[in-house]
Amino acid sequence: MSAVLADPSASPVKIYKRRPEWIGALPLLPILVFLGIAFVYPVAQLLWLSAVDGSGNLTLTHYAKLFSTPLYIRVLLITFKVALWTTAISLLASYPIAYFLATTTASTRDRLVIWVLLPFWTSFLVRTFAWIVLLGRKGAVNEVLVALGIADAPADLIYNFVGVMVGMCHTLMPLAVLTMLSVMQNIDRGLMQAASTLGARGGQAFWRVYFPLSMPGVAASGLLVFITALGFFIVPALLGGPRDMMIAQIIIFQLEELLNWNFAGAVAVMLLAAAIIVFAIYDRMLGMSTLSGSARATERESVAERGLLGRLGNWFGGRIIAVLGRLSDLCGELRDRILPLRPDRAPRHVGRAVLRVAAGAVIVFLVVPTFFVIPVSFTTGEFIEWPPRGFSWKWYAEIANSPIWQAAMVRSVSIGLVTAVLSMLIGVPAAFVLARQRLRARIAIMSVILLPLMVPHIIIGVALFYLYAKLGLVGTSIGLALGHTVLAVPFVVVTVMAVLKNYDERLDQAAWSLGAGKLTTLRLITFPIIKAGLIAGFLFAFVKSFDELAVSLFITGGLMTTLPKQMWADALLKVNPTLTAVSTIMLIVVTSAILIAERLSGRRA
Amino acid sequence: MTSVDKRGATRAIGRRSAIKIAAGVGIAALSAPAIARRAWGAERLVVADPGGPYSKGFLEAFHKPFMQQTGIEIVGVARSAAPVAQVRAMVETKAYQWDVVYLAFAEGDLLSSTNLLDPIDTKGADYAELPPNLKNQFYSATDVFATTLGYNKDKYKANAPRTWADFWNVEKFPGRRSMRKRGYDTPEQALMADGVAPADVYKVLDTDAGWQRMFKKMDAIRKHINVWWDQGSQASQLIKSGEVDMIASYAARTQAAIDDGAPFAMSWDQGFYDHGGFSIIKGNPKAELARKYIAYTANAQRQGAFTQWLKAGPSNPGAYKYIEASLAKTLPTHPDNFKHLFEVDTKFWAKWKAKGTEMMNEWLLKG
Repeated sequence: MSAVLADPSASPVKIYKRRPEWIGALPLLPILVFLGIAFVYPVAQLLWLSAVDGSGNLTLTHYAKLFSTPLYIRVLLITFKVALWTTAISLLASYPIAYFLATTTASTRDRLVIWVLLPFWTSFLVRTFAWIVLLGRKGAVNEVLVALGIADAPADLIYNFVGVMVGMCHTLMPLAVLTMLSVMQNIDRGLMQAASTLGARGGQAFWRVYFPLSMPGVAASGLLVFITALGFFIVPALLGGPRDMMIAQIIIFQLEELLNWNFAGAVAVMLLAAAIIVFAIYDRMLGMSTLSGSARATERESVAERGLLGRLGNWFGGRIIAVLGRLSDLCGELRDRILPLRPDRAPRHVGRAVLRVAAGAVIVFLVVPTFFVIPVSFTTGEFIEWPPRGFSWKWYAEIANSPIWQAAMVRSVSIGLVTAVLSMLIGVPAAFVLARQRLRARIAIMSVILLPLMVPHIIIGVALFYLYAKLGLVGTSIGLALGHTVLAVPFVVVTVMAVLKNYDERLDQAAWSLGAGKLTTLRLITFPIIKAGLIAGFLFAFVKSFDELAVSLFITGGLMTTLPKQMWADALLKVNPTLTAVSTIMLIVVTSAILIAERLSGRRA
Repeated sequence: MTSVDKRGATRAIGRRSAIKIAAGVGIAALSAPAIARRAWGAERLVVADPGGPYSKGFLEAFHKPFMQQTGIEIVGVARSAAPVAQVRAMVETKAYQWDVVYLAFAEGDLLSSTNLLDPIDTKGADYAELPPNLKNQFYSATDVFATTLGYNKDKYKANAPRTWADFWNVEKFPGRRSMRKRGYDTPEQALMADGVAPADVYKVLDTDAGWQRMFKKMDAIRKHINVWWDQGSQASQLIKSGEVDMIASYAARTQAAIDDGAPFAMSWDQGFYDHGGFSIIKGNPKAELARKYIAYTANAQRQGAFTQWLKAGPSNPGAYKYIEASLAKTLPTHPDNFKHLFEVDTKFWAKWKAKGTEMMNEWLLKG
């Protein structure tokens, strides 16, 4: 900094660029060391079993069996199909609401985001059973359909692919909405106005200006949703039909029921290889450049870097956007032809109204199972059922009298917070480097950071147990929080990278030139601007830990009772309303905490 | 722009202090001791159970009275649904988080065959009342569970299905059906529906031709199965909500729904049973204490008490002396019910489970 002050003609950018690459990459060190020790090493050791026989000699028999039995490839394809559909539907449904939230007033946004977040605070088990009861033949939805005469007989809404999509999209859409929103909030809306001034109609302005700028958010959401969906198995098992089989189920069966870790490892390696290939194609087509690289790098430059596939993707992208823009304007023109604008009436905002309806529908979809949970928690019956029977506080009394449930709530929240803080500490610096510097090893580093999302949780659980046994961390809270950090940190990195993509580094340079130190610049300029992304990353990391079962169960032997673990154990025979009561309490506690935090920070502003 | 920045800046400070608070809360919680095992010498045993009513029932029927009698502290812990991988990890790393583990019989068999359990010696007087098939050198059963045909008695009234052939007979017994989405349990039912006597099921199924025959029978029922259930809690939910009229499921799950008012009954005809019980994890320094505890769980009166929490059949027939008649007749090992049941052949499934599951999954995908 002193150099800059001494010689005002020297641009800080030049100083920054003159440093060797590795110094700039130093902030990557914590995350790489952490993932190296707590993820790559133990998981590689476990997966190595797929290449050896019972006495430790190298063999290919497990892979030979894997590829000679058509079942495993088929289940892998089904898994990818489910993940792709989940991603497509989630993105399509999330974009309008994210756009709506990004372009509405701050107070409306703050109020509505609370609703979008609601599904996060109920356990996956409770959410899934809520859908089972809501969508069953005698469920609330079918009752309404039949009563309104929309359907003659109860429709098959679950135990098929529709059920799988409902359950999976419901779980993953808050993730998609928040990731997109954090990027969209930083798009300058003046740009759309500028486009209009220059003669672009609404459609062209949106598709050619706003949409490309929102792409980093779409790309990041798509990546996170797709990879997370690959690992799902409980939702498809409970809401799907016989053909909705996921590869994670196969791995769990081999590992936990047959004790065939060698074959389980082979299946897991196949999944990983496939996921990495998909990631590489994604990177070539859509490009990490949507996620990383300086905002000022010219599009042509980054496309040239990506070769033929990249150019192809770019060309198609450009065509599609042009066509969409044209189509939107045609619709608008058509509307104006049929119902001409009249100067004596207020201008219409049809687009905005449609958007509002779409956003409202998505919010209803997200909150329905949550609101279903609340009345059910007051039932006098022993099951989760609709309509709830009578009214009683007995399930709350059970929690009030149970130190186990109370301890589980406190522990899950605490471990979630520690996980989120740890993930931010190592994830945010890494995101800065990956988003801003053109490292040669960028793709490899990104793959390592994303791998924890691709490896089935049970594999990570077993691997960590062996590591922790050596380190004396088995059954400790620290061990649990570190394990959850492995799973949570990719969410932080991807989300923060996405918000940094549109960040104009010249703002930092302006601050430096005015004499602000690097930390001051971060604190006063950078962090406030990318605030939405930081908060989203923190929330995702918290939720990942808060709703995690497999790793917790394995690395603590069940001795550490977290909320999902206690719910799982409690639901052996039947899912009883205690779970809905716990969920209701968590909903209220977490939502109040968020509201209070907003109030406090709002008052200070 | 400046006002936005100012607002953002102050918010950032708010967030930073929020993170500090969060970290503080977290660290305070982390330093609170978990149920960790530090003192090896203490008279303390950790017993892993499947959770739910098992946790409550074991605590009241076994742990508490044993503690009172011996002064040895018993800590119950709910484990994952399939604990064999966890046991292997504990033995291989010597990080014994559990001393005694509740296992399904097949899991005990798998673990003892891979040398991951310590012997119990169930030949002693404590185990004298247990039938010979419910105990072995590494395992002592506490409870017996059955798979039976459950049906809606309001729908079928006097014309109720009794056998697996009835379950397959969609003309005489129309209605929505559910089966288990697994490579085991379901094959037995299909073969019996095809006329194989319960005693011959595993003989027939021990050949590829037997499996072909079984799948042919499954083809006939495929389009009449409305729900393939996966988790036990899902089966009881299906009964309770009236989603299906007929289901092949665990008796205790069906009973849980019946107890909450579901209009269901079950047929014990051609039902089959399996069992679960306690084992000691290999190399455990507390094996001696563990043996003492496990012997206690074979006690007739204690097993009788356990049925108040879980409607599984006690492995010790003497337990029925301590069980109320109305409860007793709903349990699988009650003589009136038990005479209809045959035992799942664990040795058979040890040989066929991997292959059978693979074939069943392939069949499910074909549909």
